[in-house]
Amino acid sequence: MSRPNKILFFILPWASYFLVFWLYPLSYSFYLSLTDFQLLRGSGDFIGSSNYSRLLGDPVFMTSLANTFYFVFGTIPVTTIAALILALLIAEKVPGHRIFQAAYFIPSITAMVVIALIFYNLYSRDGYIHTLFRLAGLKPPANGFLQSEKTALWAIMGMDIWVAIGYYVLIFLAGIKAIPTELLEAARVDGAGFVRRSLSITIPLLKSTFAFVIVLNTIRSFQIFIEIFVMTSGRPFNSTLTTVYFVFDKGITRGDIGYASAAAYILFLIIMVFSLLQFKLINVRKTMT
Amino acid sequence: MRKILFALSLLCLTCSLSGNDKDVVNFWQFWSDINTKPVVESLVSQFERENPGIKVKITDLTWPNGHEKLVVSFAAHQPPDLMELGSDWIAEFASHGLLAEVKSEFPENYLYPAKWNGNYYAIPWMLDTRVLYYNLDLLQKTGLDIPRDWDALLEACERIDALGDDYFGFGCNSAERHRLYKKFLPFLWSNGGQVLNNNGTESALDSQQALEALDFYLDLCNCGLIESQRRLEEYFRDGKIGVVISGGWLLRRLVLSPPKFQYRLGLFFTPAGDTGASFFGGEYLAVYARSKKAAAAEKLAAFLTRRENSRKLCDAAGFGFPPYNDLDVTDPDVKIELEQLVHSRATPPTPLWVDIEQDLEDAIEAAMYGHGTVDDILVKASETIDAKLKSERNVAAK
Repeated sequence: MSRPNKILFFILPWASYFLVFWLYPLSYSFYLSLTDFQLLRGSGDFIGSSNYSRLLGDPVFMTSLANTFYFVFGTIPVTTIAALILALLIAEKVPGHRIFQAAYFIPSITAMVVIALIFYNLYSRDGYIHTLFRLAGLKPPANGFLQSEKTALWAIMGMDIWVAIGYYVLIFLAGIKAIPTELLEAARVDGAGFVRRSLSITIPLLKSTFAFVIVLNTIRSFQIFIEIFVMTSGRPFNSTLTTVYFVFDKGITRGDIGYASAAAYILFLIIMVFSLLQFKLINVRKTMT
Repeated sequence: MRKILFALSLLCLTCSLSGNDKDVVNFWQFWSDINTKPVVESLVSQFERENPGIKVKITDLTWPNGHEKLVVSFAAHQPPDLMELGSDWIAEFASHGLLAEVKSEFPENYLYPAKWNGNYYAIPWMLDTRVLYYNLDLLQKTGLDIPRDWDALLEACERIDALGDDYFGFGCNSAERHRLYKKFLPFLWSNGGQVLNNNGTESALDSQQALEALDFYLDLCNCGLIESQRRLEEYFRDGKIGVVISGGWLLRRLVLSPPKFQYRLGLFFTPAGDTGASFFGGEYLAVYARSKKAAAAEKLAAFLTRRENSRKLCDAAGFGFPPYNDLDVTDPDVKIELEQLVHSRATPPTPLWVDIEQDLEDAIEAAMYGHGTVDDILVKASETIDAKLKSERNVAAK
């Protein structure tokens, strides 16, 4: 077998998977977004960019976008900073650090449906969190956190931060392990404490890990769906409606797959722009350093 | 090597032949809990024994996403041969030519949701309705009797709500799809209102009756707890809610684990106190229009909906009624349910019901959360529904 053929042979399994399960659906979905295809009718006419212009004038879609942005920008900084602090503490080998490491990671490997159901109860009027708020003298929403427009999205964001932290702690830990130990030891010999070492050595050397965590978290957060599906179905009054749930509702529940595909493509473009921007920022910083 | 290949080919051929001698009917249904699933399986086994040559493969669906799963299966051209449907999905699937027409002997009122363009597309398997559940102990504390009209109901709920922070007058649904509208419609219908006009061509939600019904529902919510149906029923069983709307499954739970308080079931009533209309729910069986096993699937549907077989399912579920008129009921609470079933209405059979249902729930929710006046909200919902009905007519005309 010649070398090009060998290469082709070895990349064939992945390439066929990519073509069948990624590229074809992606292209077909774009075609659908230009039609008024209905799932039950099984057909649709070409309508150009009508779905896109309809979406831009759809207040429910705009609400879903706004909620998604709130979710993304509300959770990412908290998740990233909290994960970094926990990773730094674990890397210091505080007593019981292995138990902490495992404990933080457990939510990440637990099924989201299970977590969402547990939190649904915790957030309800007689739930643990609601009771804690009352004991602390705070005034939680009368009917529970998920039944109030003002708190429902925040409650889901809180849960999501709790779930996601463990995974990013592991990534940061891997980044910290890659830092040459002599640097940290030299600093320690020079009398640098935990805070000084973290600020002056560990964190600056974790830039690429930061970038990876932020890009990963951004993509994941833009695609939030299971939590909404299980806990609120986008309610109350669309206050927890996210774009992926909007796509699911329009495309699968109502069968308006052309319209849903257009919404999915807008989200795809947004995620792409954000990812490119983040990569660009990282590259600029790399060149500067 | 050749021998091995030959043996494998022979094995495959045998397997494929043995697969062909049975007519495998794919049956998708919703009864998956430990009480009902064995009954469905045993009925299906009995059917297979009575019909040698027909094999049935059962697949379970769930109510939260069963509709979506069916829609996707139709789109993929791989739907089941026989499927259990919620009463308000039939017109949607029938209008796209996906369900086979059926000839049926069932009572006309029970076939109403299965009717589309003058033909029937499904047969009823079991029926249920919603009634009012009262906590008699809480009512007694307020010094009131079981309410008989709207004013009395509101007064009872308000007084129970005033008993303390841990007590609620009324159980009000929210944040759950497919449920909220079922709690509002009994008040709308009992007040003489409708969702659509008689022809199903326009919304009737901008009527005075709808406005009064929604106003009344909001008054009830103001002295109640807003929660999911499951949680509301738990609160009721804990003796914390005065009045909830629920189906026969709640009665079964109350019978199996009796609460510490006295309870009573009651019929819906009109504002003036006459018997009102409740929500008519039902499980229907429909055959896929292009099924190659349509005859076997129809046979299975006819078998499952026999009076004695439907009764077995209702007994296992602990609620619901076989779709026949002359039912013998002795339990006083079940009698109330049956009486309410007779005074129940189904949602209008329209292909757009899934859409309209959501618009209706959005409107109720908007009113509950104070996003405008009830009048404006209903007018806006009506306009949205009218636009969709018009668009559907245009597509159908094409």
